[in-house]
Amino acid sequence: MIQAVLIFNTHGKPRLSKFYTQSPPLMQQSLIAQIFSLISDRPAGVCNFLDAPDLVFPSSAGKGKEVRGDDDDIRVIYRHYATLYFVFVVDGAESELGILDLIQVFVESLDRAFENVCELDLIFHFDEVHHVLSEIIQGGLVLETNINEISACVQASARNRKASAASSNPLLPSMLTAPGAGRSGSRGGSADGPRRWLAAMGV
Amino acid sequence: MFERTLQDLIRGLRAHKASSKAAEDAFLAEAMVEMREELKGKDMALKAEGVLKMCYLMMLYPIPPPPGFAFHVVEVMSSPRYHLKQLGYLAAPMAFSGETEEVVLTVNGIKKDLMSPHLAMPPLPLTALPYLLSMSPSLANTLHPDLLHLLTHSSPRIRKRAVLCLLPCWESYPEGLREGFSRLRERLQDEDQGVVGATVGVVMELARRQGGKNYLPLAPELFGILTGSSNNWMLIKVVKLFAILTPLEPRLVRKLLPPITNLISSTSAISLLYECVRTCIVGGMLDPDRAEGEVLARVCVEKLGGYLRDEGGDQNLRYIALLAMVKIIPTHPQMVAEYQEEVLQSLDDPDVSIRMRALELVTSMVDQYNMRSIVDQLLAHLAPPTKGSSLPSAMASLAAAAGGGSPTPTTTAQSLSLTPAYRLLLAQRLIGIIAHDTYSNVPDFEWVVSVLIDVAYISQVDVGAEIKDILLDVIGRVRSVREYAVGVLEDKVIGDEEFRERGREGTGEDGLMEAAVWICGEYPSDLSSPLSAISSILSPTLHLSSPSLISLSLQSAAKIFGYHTAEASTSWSVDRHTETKNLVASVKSGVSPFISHSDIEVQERAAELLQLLNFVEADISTHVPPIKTVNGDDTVPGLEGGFEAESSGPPYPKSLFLFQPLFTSHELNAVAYRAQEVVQIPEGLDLDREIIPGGGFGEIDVEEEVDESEVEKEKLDLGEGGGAGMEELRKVLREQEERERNGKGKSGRKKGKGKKIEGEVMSVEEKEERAKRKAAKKARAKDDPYYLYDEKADVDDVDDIPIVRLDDVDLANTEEPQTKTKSSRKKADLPPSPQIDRGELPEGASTVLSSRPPNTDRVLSGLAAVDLNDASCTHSASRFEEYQLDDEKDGEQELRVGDLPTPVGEIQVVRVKRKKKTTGKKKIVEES
Repeated sequence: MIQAVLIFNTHGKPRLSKFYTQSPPLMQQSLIAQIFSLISDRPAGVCNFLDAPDLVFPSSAGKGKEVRGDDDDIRVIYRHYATLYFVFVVDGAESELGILDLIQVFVESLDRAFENVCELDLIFHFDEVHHVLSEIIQGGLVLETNINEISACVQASARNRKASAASSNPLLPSMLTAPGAGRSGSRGGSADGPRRWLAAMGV
Repeated sequence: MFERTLQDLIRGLRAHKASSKAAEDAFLAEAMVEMREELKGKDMALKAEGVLKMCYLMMLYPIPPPPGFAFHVVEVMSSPRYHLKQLGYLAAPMAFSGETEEVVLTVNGIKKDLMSPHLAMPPLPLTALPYLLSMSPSLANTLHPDLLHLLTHSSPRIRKRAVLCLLPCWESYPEGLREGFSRLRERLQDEDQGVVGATVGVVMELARRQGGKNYLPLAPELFGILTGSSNNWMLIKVVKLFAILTPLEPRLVRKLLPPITNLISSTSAISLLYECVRTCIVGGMLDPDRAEGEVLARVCVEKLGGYLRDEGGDQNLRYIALLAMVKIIPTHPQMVAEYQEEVLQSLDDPDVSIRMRALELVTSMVDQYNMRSIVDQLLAHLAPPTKGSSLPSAMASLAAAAGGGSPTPTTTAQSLSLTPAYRLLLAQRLIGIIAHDTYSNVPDFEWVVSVLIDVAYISQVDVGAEIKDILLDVIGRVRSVREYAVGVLEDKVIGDEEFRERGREGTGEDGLMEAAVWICGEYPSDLSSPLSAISSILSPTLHLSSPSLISLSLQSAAKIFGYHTAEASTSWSVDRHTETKNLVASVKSGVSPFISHSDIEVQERAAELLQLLNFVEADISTHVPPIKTVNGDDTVPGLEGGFEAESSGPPYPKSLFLFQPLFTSHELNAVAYRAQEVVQIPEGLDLDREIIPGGGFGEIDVEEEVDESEVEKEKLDLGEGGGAGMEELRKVLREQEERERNGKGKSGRKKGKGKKIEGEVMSVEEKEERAKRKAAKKARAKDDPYYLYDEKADVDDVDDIPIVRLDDVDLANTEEPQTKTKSSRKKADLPPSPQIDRGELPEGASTVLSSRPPNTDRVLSGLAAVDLNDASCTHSASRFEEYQLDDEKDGEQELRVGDLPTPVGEIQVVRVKRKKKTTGKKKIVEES
């Protein structure tokens, strides 16, 4: 299964971190830092699999549930897009090349969701990135790999959010209705408002 | 109040980051305060925003969530608004940890959302559920029916999410698997491909966790997917799943071969192709017994080799080709060997990942013929990029030169030297290759020794311990290499002051130095010059080294010294005399600084060595030159015992032979693997038997009995043998037995009294006999270091005295009228407990036994007194035991009161009773 999905930029600043196994936050951050320092050292044109002797997975020491001991085949698979690294930490159940394709799918989905995605989009729409990811991976298992289906789901979810937010916007309805409710009979009140105003002007 | 959205927060952070760290921290602190307010407030939208901001900050900084964060998240999760609820579920995995009460609070909300008629609702909880379920078994238990229900939801989007939730659910609630398995199986034939894909993923994970056995029945469905689907992701999963299943069911192989070979030849997706190849390898489809297996193997290896060769192509393919080749080696080593060149080239790749894989592959490719070249290449990697004059070994510079000839020398070497972890791995692999399967691939051991020295010289990582172990092992096992090794080590290592210095930094050199020092000391006959070896071992900078090296050096110096002096004796002359004198003086001066070393082991060795040297020195200095052949030893006081025996001594000082026997009287040989198993267990030795029943402590009755009966049997078998431990055993044994008999001989009620009488009634012969036995026993015990009763036994009547005293005190405390009043009788009463048994335990137990049965009428009060007594003086182990026994007797007797008649004959009675007693015990157990 997929143990973690990470996005960080070329300076090691995390833009998204999603761990599908339980591990303490400090371990997560140290893992991110470790992976970043190893990946950033790698020259261009080398393979997309991070395999380094000094890479230790704090998560594997911490939980013991997933780790079965017989194969320590936890792999770090990453792709580099512009200023961002997309990193998947997976175990032996996943196909290495398949995950590479999946990263591509993830990036394309983000691209569709944000229309020409760039790092700033990910920075300022932290939640949106999570929503997109949740349409692709759920609980460490791949939910969907078809980009069309993914972006349809993302769009549907975004529409729902918009609708829900619009109906409950604290500013618009409450600001308008609250004073109206204060004056008894808002309909009539609003109707004779102009008249009163005109009267006040002496017309 | 101004409310900051997430965007504002991020903007603020970015703005302040530019200025300074302090400003950023201040801003962060301010934001945290605001957030805490927002979280506490009533406004749900603000609260959700606060939760979101908190999550963002937790991703970036190592800050703990504010107290009660989880509760706020629960509130947000329960909001009826879609967009707020979504934020709540998004934050849930970050907020909850373990099975806390917050999780319990969420149950109803989650259930409601799962069952919501609104299509958009169920996915929200389903995204967060995997995490929550894996954390909380109770939640998994509660929600399991709802998840099963969702498996048949009308929307495929919800169905596939529900399928994926089953895995964590069953992980924390395994009983659910039995109930839900058939439902999961149905999903394999769902009309929606996404649902099928998700199901395959779940089955895959389940099979990985449980082993494939349970999932073999799914083979038909999976086979259907394999032949019918065109979704690559799903095909990959299915193919990988079959790699788990086929080893369990070989018949599957024949069924799978056609579709898989079909996929291999037809697919355009390399990922799928690779997975097919990998499944063929891992799934055991390349069985060389089968004709098509061999062909398939050829196809697979060629595909992989193609990836490997593809220079300008995809690095990823090279990586996975190496990955897969490792798996194919065990069955088809010769096919992989064809690509040895490419693999070795990959060792030079600038990419660490590829190098790592290549290293692993190379390690498994090694055989007798290519070992040298492979090891040389690895050595070349270890060699420092700039091969300067500091490389003392010809082999190493040779290797470095060879490395210089490889295509990408500089980049390789430099990037290599950058990562110590890789160097460590490389060095360890190198050593592993050599040591593999007890050196079965090694062509030449002299070469091994030189390689090991090279590794120590150039690795610059901490492999010292490994090098030391393997070097000592090789030297110990291979006699023919000793001479060479000693020569090289003496030459290159021990005398190399610079090397010694490097070793002090705790890298690989120190281990080699220790090994060298030990080896030179152990085989001094191969040293070219023992004198210079001693002086380089006791180098003036030795005090800077680690304590273990120092103590080794002292020991080795002593060994070489011993060897040398013994040698010198054969040609003793005036020159020799002065030379040896100087040697002693120099060794002494080398050793003496360590007398006050902080490490205790060093100190001890130095002190011992120095004393011996003092003696030798005195001996030599008083030794009159050989022409006169006068015994020179007589002036040494205190040691005359060994040296003054003969009047006409040899022409050299005898103390020349003082050292050598200390070290060479036994040769240490390597012990063969499993040698211990060959050793026969001597007749009559039972390794499982406890030496002291109950391990010296009181035990539960039942166990005690088992011991007892075992030991009793053994007494019959073994008689007097077995040493002190056995003696002890037998004693305890008999004591019990005797007691037993006493008790049984009487009607249970009256036993205590019987003891009293027994004490009083003791006849003169009995006493005599007792004294005699005691004396004999004392004599035996004298030699036994483990015997604890000695002192007491010295006092004549100790049996009684201490106990009586203790008894009195005890009794006074316990206010038991009977015993108190009869304290004088008690005296007689008590001996039967521990002491008497000890003293009286006879070789001829039967005589004692026969004397006992008559004293049959006892009172229970006596037993009670004994108990107290023993409890009060449990300081000695024997009493402990006794206490136990009394207890046990107590129980037995009560039992026996009903069902045991008085005994008929002495010896037989014992056996009969024992049986009955045990059955009685069992009854008790059953009843209770």
